[in-house]
Amino acid sequence: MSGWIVQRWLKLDQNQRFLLLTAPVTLFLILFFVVPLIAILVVSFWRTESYQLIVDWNIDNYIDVLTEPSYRVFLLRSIVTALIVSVTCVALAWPIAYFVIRYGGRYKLLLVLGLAVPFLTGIVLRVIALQGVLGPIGLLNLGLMKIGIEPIQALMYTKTATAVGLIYLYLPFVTTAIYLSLLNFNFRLLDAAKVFGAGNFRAFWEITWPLNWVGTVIGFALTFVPSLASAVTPRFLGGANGTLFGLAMGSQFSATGTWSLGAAMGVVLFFVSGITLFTISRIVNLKRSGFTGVGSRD
Amino acid sequence: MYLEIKNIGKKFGLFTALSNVDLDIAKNEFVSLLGPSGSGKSTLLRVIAGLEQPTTGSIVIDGEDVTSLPPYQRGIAMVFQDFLLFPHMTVRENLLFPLRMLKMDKRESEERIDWCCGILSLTELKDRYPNQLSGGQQQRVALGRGLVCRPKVLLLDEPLANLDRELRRDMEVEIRSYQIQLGIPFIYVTHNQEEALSMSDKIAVVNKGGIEDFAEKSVVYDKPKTRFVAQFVGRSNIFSGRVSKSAGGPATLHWRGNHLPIGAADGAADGLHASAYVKIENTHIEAMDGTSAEGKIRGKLRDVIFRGQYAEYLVTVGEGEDVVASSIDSSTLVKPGDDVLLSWDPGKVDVFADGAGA
Amino acid sequence: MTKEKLPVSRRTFLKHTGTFALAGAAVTLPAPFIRNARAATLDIRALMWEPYVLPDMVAAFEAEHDVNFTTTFFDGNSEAYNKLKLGGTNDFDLVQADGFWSRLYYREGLIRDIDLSRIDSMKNVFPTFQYPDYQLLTAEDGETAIGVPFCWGGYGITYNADQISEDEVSSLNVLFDPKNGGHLSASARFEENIALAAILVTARMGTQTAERPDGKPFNPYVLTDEELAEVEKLLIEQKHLLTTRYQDLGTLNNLMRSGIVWAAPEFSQVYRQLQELKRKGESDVNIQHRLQAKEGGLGWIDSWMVTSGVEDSEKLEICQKFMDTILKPEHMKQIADKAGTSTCVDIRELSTAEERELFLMDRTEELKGLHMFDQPSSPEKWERVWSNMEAA
Ligand SMILES: Nc1ncnc2c1ncn2[C@@H]1O[C@H](COP(=O)(O)OP(=O)(O)O)[C@@H](O)[C@H]1O
Ligand SMILES: [Mg+2]
Repeated sequence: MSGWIVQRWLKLDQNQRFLLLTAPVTLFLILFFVVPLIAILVVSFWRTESYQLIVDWNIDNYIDVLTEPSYRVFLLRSIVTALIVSVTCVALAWPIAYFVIRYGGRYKLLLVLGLAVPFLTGIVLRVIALQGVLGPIGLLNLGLMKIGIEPIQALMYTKTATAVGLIYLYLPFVTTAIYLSLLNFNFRLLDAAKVFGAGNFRAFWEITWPLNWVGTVIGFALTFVPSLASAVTPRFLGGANGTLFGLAMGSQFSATGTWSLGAAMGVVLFFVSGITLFTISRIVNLKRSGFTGVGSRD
Repeated sequence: MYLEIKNIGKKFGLFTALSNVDLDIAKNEFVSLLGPSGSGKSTLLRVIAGLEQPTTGSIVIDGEDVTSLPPYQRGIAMVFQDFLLFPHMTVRENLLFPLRMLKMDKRESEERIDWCCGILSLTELKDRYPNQLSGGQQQRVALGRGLVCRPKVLLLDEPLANLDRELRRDMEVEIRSYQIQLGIPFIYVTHNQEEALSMSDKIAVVNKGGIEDFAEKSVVYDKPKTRFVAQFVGRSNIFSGRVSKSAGGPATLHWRGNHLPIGAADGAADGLHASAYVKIENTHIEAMDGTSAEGKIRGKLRDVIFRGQYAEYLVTVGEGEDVVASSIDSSTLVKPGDDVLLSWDPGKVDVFADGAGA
Repeated sequence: MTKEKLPVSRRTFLKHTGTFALAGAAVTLPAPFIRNARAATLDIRALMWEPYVLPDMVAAFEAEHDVNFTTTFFDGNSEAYNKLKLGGTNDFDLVQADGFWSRLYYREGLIRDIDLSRIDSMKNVFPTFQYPDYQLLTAEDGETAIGVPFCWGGYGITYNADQISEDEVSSLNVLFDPKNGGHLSASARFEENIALAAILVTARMGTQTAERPDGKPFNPYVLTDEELAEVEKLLIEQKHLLTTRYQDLGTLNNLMRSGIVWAAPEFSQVYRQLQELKRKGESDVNIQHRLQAKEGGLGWIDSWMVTSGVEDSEKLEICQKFMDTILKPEHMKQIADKAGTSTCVDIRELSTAEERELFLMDRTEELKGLHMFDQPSSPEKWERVWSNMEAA
């Protein structure tokens, strides 16, 4: 039986084999990515009325999303939040990842697994836990009040709290991305840089940073895209003024039942994320990334 | 001296990687650090470069004590075994890197790079990235990066180890010529004695973190200072036995009933055990045709291995023990199976007392 | 990313929580429901709210009637509605809903009529929840029974009596008063926020008692554009007075217990939790609940219904048996204990004096004045009002 399969396999040419091997993946992608995406796209050109989807091709949803001040405010808030969050995450993740790689020694693996611990619980649970920490009678503020300091208003149901929450959620992703990048980085290149006249900072800037740029950018994207779409975090931490685009979009489906408007918001979000990823891919020059370079053989 | 390495010691925790290393190197000298893997050669090089801080001792370059200076203030350059080219930079940018760090002006930089690419035939490859180069090409870029900034000293850590044999031979010649051209000391780490012997002015034999011998290469080869050097440099047949020295006369070694001539045998005392090292090319072979066998070893020729310019004769002496003789004299009329006699010039034997320091 | 449901609905009364917000989410994690392993001839499939599951009762029911009872949970009415619309009438036999939704289901052919005479337990239901006092579980023809009432509650104001006087809380204005800025909270439900604000706005505008455009009595879920515009203004003003919108009861519990929030509309669970704590001496904040303000208030009654997919009489019989069983006082008492809701069935004999007070068992009459939870007249317009408020 298996012999027969092998024989058939050997008779196939390169292209046929490629098709056969990639078919399951392609099918999976189509089923779980392309089909829902097309469904959303289609629905975004329809209309809802009292929880009924009405097939009435129009672009009003897009006009609303793009011209109504409220949705623009949500989108702008989301973009600004996502930018702040991802830049902060990158800035925090670098020293953490660097420290683990350089000084983690044999505990390196353990430390990295430690990074993954928060992943074991769901996002909702983690955000609620964070609410317990940042909230008015959370650990942080109770602690502050104990030692006679005013609670930090800025962290109670504000956009800052949302940002803190998102940073807490996505820092492990960015750290892991940069960690993996540094893991493949040949630190001895720094010896070369130093011998040829670079100080510590210069060596970092000329060698370490550009050669881990791809990992950094991936980490950035891993934070930026979900932050842009975040719904749970602003809901629990953002307070009455902290509604973000993803939260508003989510409520189109769950609360208000205005699905087609929600779908249009989803498409817009998809495009903004897409543009971001495209821009990012443009600023990454793979040749300059050191991929498959000699630097990594060691 | 131009480069003075004084009493350098280096410990990694409890492990002593280097101890009491003293080397004086003149401005135009090509010095090889020759030693087995793990003997501390790279560590010594890294100490000189400033990548490793020594536990004791000091480094003086051109009269200036650089021991506490960071690498980038020492004016040295280094060629690494795995090249360590910057993978995100083109060949030109790799060569430019040291010059940028020196803040050299543009025109001069370009001249330097052109010069460098010229002598190393890299001109065509200037805009390639390291991963688009063959091993040999990468090696030349690494060398170019070491030369382009005209360092006070160039350190090379087994730069040819990753290349295949032919390429290696050509590069040996080239590297030597650049050293002469630049007139700066090259310190060349290798575990390959042929490389060391072909390129260097002087060889420092490194063993277990110390310098066993440091001298002109011919001296190291012909007059090894220690048993280790004799063992490590060249190929020798070793005969161990009791030494007998008669006043004024030549010493002999009692070996399997033979009295072998071992010259003056300064390294051994009368009546004590010692080993005699006879390089294979100094071991003569002749057919046993009735001439006196006095002071010679009898054996049976087992095999002949032709090496091109010379041949090696494997001679069985006693049970399963081979002695190797090599000769460029192809007229030696012996065939496998023949009984032969082995002998040598007593002046070309190195004798080391057994026991201590073996 | 965008489809998480509100993790805590009003049903998910957290009986012993409040201390840790974390528990709020833990409770809502779908608890594995143990099925009867015995192969049963009939499958009874319920689409219901999770806190109402009584495993012991279900097991006994399965044994007695030789059926297999399975459950699927939902959160908001619209979710169950959409499930049924998408062919769910064939997937479910029993379904739950609030207030007006039952009639909508019937109009759309999602549920079928039932025979109340087969449900003995209806005799235990307070008259307030029966026809003609309560009409929403009878079809518009006034005859056909379409469901049985189950639990009820209001959406009154829970307040800190040390900070807010009884007089103040008699008006909805207390929730919009700048004097209470920073000490107010509200839920995140857009319908009830708008409807509650609408009750105040229409009272102020005088349109509540005037003749309505649709000729029907005032319903805060049916608003004119002018009224909606006023509601939007009022909600925007209110937003700046809010500490936050509570997403789960744990949060509101914390906010009220710590004295940060003085007044908030809610389903009265937090009121019960904090009363309980106070009785145990674990909290000294004086928390009270006002079911209905003078301008009016919101309330809800939920129900059990049989889907239109149930056609044969044997299955209908079993479904009605289930309704009869769960409406028995001993089971309703368990529901009250577990879900923390007031029941439509009179369980006063099984309750302590304190429970009678906490669960408003002597105040069922007050429900009559409450406006039932309903579907917004135009979800599209209401959505815009809500978004404008959130972006303001
Ligand atoms: N950073 C270090 N930490 C600990 N031990 C080291 C370090 N670098 C080198 N060594 C040890 O020092 C010894 C000499 O190493 P090295 O100088 O690389 O030898 P070689 O270049 O002669 O092969 C080896 O035993 C090596 O394990
Ligand atoms: Mg080495």
